[in-house]
Amino acid sequence: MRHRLWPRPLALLIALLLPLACAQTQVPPLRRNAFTPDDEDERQLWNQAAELDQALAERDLVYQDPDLQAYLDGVVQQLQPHLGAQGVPVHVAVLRDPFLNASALPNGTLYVHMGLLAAMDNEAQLATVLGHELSHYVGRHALRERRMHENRESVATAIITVLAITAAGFSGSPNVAAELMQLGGKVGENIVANQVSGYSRDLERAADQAGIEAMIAAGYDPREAPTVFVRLQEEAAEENMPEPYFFGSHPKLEERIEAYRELLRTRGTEGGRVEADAYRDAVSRLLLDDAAIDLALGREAHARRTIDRHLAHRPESAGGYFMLGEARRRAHDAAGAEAAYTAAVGYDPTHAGAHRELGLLYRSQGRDGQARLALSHYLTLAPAARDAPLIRAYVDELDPARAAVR
Amino acid sequence: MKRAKVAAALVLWLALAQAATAAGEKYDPYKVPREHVRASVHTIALEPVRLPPSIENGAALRARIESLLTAKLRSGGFTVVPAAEYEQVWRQMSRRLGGVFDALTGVADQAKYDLAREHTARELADRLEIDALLVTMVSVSALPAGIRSSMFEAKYYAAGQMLVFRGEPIRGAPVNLPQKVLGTYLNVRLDNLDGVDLYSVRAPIEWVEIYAGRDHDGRPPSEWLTDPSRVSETVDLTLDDLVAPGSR
Repeated sequence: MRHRLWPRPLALLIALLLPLACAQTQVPPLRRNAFTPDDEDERQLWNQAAELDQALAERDLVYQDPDLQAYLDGVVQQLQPHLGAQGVPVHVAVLRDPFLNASALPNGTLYVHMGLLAAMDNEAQLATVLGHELSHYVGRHALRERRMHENRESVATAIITVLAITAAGFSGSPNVAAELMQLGGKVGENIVANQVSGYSRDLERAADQAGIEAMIAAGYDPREAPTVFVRLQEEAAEENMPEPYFFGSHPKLEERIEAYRELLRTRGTEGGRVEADAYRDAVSRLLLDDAAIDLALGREAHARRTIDRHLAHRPESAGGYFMLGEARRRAHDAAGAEAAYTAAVGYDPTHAGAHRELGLLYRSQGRDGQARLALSHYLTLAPAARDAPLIRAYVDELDPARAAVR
Repeated sequence: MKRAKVAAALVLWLALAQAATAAGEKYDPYKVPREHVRASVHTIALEPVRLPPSIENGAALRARIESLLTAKLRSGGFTVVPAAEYEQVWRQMSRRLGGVFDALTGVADQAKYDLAREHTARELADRLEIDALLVTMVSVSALPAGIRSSMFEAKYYAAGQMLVFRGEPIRGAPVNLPQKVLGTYLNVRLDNLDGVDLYSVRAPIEWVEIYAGRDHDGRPPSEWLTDPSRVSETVDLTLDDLVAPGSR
């Protein structure tokens, strides 16, 4: 006799409940006109998303660069019509976070982390990421995810109840049941969970597909799409640690790379725009700010790579050479640091920080005359600097006349 | 760089909050991935150990703790710059700034304090190639009686050892009491040169109060921290994770 896994009454009950669950998660996508949620659960999601937006802004975690902002808005606007969402309000924000992630809140805020922007090469790759996140928003995936979880909970409750009554043919694990029950969770936890670990596999796949279709329709080269995820995978492997966010999760990354390649195989790769120069222009300043965070965190290899990317695009950037000097100084490479700071003041004689660092470096090496000159330059350029009182004391000590008196 | 430091601290806070949820109860003293500490920290400068003002004969105790810290860090393969070096450079910085502490109140001018500390670290880095600073402080605060500290899953805690009270050894106080009495803690924090907390932990050393009837009675400060093994074990406990095989 064939073994029956589910007792017949239970199977019937599940068969009755599942369509009900599916029906409740049918959510139409957002369309052209401005949208405000009618349902209470969606309003809650929007309110909590707005609270999260506010909390991130209050903690100074939102990166400010008006030029970059305009550029990101422009890329999103190119994608929107191809997702049937022209005119739907979307806000792109950059998070001051050096790790690799992007996420979409249910209220239309798309967050791209600095680390991800620093790791990408061109606008086509950016469009892949933004297209994916925009698809989550336009498809109202947060709401669908929430309703799915609620339905899973009600289905799970029914199953457990039936099992308890019939106690038939199924071992039943209270622990598994408890975990299932927790899936319902609180709405806020759902939002956070979506940001940290991504949406369900089906919704991620749907966003991948819609996102790549949108970037192709906007004229971008689809061959750049998998490159984003390959890059993320390389970086995660190099770190020899799991990145804290979902993009760093290896099985998901591998799956996603393969899914993109499969999409390209079926969709064709007819080429398109890459826009590498425009992208590098837009993220030029961000690269240095990202490198500064990496240096403060001790991620020196990351910082060096990011600085190199900046300098490859802006070979005469004083800021780039200054940051290179900072990285070398932290690695106790005094000669390398001196060369980089010297290049910085060569390209921009008004770069106060480079004069300061050169002065401190000369002072530590007993090159008093050069130290005094460089530190005096610094004080001229930044007389109200936080450390000006201390630097004045150094300059004073380095004065040969005073040294002779002492 | 200031904003970068703030952002770095916030990023760490978020990452830790997430990690703490995932990791369960075991306290992890690392505030950044230990691989980053391993890769970037080779030479550590000790800051002078800060002691509560009530401690008698503080210089000897400070020297003992610094000696224990040095030995422990060296056993883990770190090069250690003595606290005296830090002290000397700090005094120079303080003099250049016209003093860091208010002569009347003793309160530090925070801006000057931060500047002096930053440049002390900078000078030690330039001269002795330090990568990090070890900040060590003995503090007095409520110590759980008979239970483990919530901050640190200690293998050793004050209730387990004999205390001296007014010259006489007494038995450890009864365990599993819900009350808290004051005790001393050893607090250790490893900062990188940008002031980012890389590793921090605190461990209880001993009670400085005992139960007396239904009340508490303070032990005389002359009896605090006089048990060498207690101090030594606590130093080991705070640095074990930092010097553990595989951490370097």
